[in-house]
Amino acid sequence: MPIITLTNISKTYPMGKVSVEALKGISLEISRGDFVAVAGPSGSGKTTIMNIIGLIDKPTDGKVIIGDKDVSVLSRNGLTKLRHEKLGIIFQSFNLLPVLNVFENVEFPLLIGKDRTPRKERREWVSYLLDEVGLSDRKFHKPSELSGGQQQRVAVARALAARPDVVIADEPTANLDSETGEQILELMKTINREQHTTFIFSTHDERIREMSDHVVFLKDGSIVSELKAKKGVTV
Amino acid sequence: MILIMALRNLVRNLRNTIIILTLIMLIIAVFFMGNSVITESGRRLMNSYTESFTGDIVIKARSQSSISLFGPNTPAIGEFIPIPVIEQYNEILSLMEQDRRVEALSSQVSGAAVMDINGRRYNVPLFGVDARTYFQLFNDIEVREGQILIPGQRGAMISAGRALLIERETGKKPVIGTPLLFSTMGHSGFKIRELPLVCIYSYKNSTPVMDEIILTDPQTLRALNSIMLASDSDYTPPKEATDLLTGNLDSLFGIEKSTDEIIENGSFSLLDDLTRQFSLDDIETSDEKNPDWNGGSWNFILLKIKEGVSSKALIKDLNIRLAPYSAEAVDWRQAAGKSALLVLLLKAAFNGGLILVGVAGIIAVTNILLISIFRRTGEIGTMRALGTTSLYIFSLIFIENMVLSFTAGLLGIGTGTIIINALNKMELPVANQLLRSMLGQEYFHIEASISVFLISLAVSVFLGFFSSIYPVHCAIKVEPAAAINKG
Repeated sequence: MPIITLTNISKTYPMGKVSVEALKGISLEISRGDFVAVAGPSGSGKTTIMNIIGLIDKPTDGKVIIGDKDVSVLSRNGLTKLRHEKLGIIFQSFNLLPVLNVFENVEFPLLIGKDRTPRKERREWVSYLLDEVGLSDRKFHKPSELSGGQQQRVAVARALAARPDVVIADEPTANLDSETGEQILELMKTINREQHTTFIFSTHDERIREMSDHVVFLKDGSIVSELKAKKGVTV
Repeated sequence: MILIMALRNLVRNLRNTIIILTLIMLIIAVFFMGNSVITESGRRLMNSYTESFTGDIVIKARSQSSISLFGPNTPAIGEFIPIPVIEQYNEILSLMEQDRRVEALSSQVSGAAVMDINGRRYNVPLFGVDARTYFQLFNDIEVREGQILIPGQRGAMISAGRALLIERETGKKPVIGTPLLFSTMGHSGFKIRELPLVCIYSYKNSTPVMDEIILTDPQTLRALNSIMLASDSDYTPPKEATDLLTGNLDSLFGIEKSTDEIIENGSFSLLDDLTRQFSLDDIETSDEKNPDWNGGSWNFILLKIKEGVSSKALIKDLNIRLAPYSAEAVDWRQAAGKSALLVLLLKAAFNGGLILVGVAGIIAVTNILLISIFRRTGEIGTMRALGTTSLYIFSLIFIENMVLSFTAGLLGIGTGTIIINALNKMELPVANQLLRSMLGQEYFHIEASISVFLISLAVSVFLGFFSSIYPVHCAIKVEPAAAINKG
């Protein structure tokens, strides 16, 4: 059973007197544990599709199913709850909360839900994540004291903190130099392998596509091809 | 975590924090100082009034117009409004004497007259007091010259302030024994009575209003007011005189004798007898003969209640019990009339002005908070994208503003206290007569009270609360997409 199913998704943005069709009837299935890259040139609709999967934006038409839930019937609070329980989001510009230190930023998603993990267990888990992303020695630093790569690693740890089924990353390496970008991708791939967390990220970086086991190519709001590397299938 | 975030956000947005803090602090400092002055003056006024002439509770006859110890509160031009007497006075007095919550009581007749002394005229309020109990009830009255009225004695007592005024205006100091001429004009005509000055007194905490009061014996005042006179003397009219009351009225006019014949035959003696007994001269004579003469009508019963007894509760209870007697109990403030209401009016006017300042403050703070929310849209959007609920965002912004307003409140109170203490140390003389009567002191000295402290703190929190409503509303409407657009 796919963890995410998009059926005939369209998205239109009104731009003054005209409308811009960002997505044109996209259908897509993503399986649990996939490392999915959404590729395409600028303006192809990558960010729009990521926002729709990440429940940040709503489609103009079509159906989105996450797990077994049809998100079109959910209220604002229902979407918030589902986002918290099932999804982890990594932003292009990191979006760390400036008043919290590294440890607190990673801990934050664990403190806002209804499920209260015991404090000791919670802190151990956060420490483990920071170990994984190689920032144990930066626990008490403020985001402003970190480099871009370090901030993005914190964002990865934060996205994984609530143990989501799916991590969505919109161009996670866009603001990083190539070496750091590669490190971040390696990190995400490692977590994907070890924890079987589904990763979906948009990119126009060739290297990411090579690492992915499911690549979706977009152009002008439509899927032009879909490659599932493991199975060697081109759609 | 939410409190930590709120505090750190305040530090991070230091400029906004300082502006809001300063604004609320100033409003609260003014509120605190103003209310401290008003509360202090209200307290002092209450103490000096209740200990000097109102007591804690006053019982009076029910009336349609508002009546104080000084008479009607609403001036009526061209109309004479008498102060109603307490009907069934003895029954009410007995009830009060038996009430364990009442510590002491006394009775009073009130009126107003024109007083002539040393060739000058003054409009004066007159209190006809029951000398047996009045001076025990009000031990703030201190004798300067002469002696206080004794039961049955005819005479008047004037305040030292009044004596000074008379001396200043006439160049002649009033001395004990000086005749004081009182005249009134009422429904039953023009009345004049002369009384000797028996005492010059002062109150421990005097106010200009209290300096006006002239204390007299009740009978003289009753005569001036043309209200019922009574005596406990044992005079019994002869049977022939009482027969006139029960006889055939027609027979009164059916006598066949002429007036001259009646006078010649001495038949006038019965009427003459009655007239003589009730003529004013004879009453005064009778009064002098009977020093214990205390009967008659009273306008007010003044009560001092025991320590710890709630005045409000007792008034409520008394009003239920006094309803069948057409009487009512009122507090000292109502009994004191317009002079005591002044403080309340000033308080209302001051706080009314402050409400306007508060509204302006709320608008200013709301705007600053809104700017702060707009600047943080990306951050709030990120939190929404991470799965925070509207309640969480609401709580975060709300806590920030509550902490801010609470701190500003404390700083405002602190500032107000420092200014008050500095003014106290300067011992500034209170030159304004109105202020002096309000403050009950010649030098500015204010003690800030806990109640004003708490009220000021509550006002600052309310200010923060109302300022937060719209910004919080805007904050919870921020969508997760803002994290991408403005992150």
